[in-house]
Amino acid sequence: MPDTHDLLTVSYEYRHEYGHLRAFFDGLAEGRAVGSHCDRRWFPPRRLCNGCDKTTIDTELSPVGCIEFVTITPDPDCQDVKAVALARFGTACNLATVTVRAAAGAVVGQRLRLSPAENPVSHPGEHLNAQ
Amino acid sequence: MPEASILGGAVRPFGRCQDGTTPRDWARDVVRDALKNAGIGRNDLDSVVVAVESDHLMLQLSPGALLADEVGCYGVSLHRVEAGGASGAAGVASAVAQVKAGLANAVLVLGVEHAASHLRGRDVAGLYGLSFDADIEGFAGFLPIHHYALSMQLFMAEFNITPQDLDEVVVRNRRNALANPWAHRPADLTAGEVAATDMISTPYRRAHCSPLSDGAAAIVIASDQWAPRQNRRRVRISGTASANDRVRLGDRASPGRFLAKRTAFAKACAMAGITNGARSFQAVEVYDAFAGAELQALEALGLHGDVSFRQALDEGRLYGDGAVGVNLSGGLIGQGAAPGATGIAQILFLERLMSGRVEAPGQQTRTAPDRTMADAHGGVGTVCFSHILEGE
Repeated sequence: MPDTHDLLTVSYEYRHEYGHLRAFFDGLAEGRAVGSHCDRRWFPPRRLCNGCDKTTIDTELSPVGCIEFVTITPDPDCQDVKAVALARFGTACNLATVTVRAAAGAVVGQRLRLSPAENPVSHPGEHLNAQ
Repeated sequence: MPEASILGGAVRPFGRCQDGTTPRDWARDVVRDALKNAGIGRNDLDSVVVAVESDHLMLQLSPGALLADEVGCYGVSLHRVEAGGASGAAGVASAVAQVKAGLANAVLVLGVEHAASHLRGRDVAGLYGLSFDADIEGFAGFLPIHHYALSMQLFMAEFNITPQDLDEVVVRNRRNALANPWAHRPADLTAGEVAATDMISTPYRRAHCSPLSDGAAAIVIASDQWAPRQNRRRVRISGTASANDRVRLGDRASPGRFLAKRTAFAKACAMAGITNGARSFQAVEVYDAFAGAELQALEALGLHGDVSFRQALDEGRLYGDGAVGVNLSGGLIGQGAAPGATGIAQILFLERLMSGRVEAPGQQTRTAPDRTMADAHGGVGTVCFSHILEGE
């Protein structure tokens, strides 16, 4: 059987058009929370509200959120600790999955703020950081 | 409406395949053995359903056509199905639907996954990360374990589940796998040994995670009216149903609960005419991609009955003597996880149990069960399938 390591490299190094998510991603790069709203507010945005069935429009929410659930992921290779949290931003009715910096202290109830991108990255989803 | 029964099947033992064979070899082997076990030939098949979760893992786009060709099936109705970790279960659901609709007398379901041995582990994990919301979560680097761990944090808080409860799931399932010749990771562990493994993402330690497995399985579903008689007990699939939920946990009203699983199970029970709930089953195979997912599944199925889930655990209603047998195959944690094949292997294990061809581990005095169910899902309880099996 051939060693596919030499034949194929799975790469995420591509970008694509984001459609209705463009404002969300552009906002993330600047540390802003661009979601959507109908009668409810959504962050991340949903174009179709699964409550009232209406098409939502973009809206900006507070970039300050609060951790509702968190998982801590030690990384033995770099002696670092990463945390991934479900956090509520502003008055959103849903929760966003975010990477939390200063993870060792990440706890439920902790307030956090979306942080602007520090470096260009391959995909703007990687801006989904908070501190 | 015709009844749909299991005519036969075969499983290639799950594991990390390093013997030089490929999914094409596994497919030929399991189809040959499944047809032999069913007592029919290729020409008897009206339809073939191929279940593969990921073209990216297999490095083969349109695997349905290739695998049908590889196993020598031509001129049949051919479908490829995908439902994440429940892909194999989705294949069985498709077969049952075809038989009950009168579109086919005999359907072969072939499930294959090449997940463990030919790509780098981090690439496989990254690809699986894209099986959630790729744009918003997958490309941000969130992996399946992050989603499962977050969901479990909520479940643990809501139902007062402890890390020790998770350790005990692993001990039971890996021990159950000792009696299963198809199993990837049979072992006799102590709870202390499980608790001593590396923390991956709280609350999950390494031993709480099911392995990525290579594997293949095939099953023949046939109409009762057409199927030849066999010298073993016939097992009918009396209920089959699926239901889905929002992909992102954060968009769900209860991120810790598998509500779609509850819906799928209720629909399958309704189809089978079962009104007395989960505790009327003698054995269930549930989708324990991670140890806590087993507990989340049992809660969704209502196996705790009319007491709280915590009370049911403490009183041995879920795992004690006389309780419904849970993951007697070893589950994904013990038997392994090859998504295209997993749902098929779950059902074939139960069919063998019900026809007296395997014994439940540690329960040799128990008679072969009459009613069982298999549960599988893709995502984090996102796309859920329930199959109810009843013996003649």
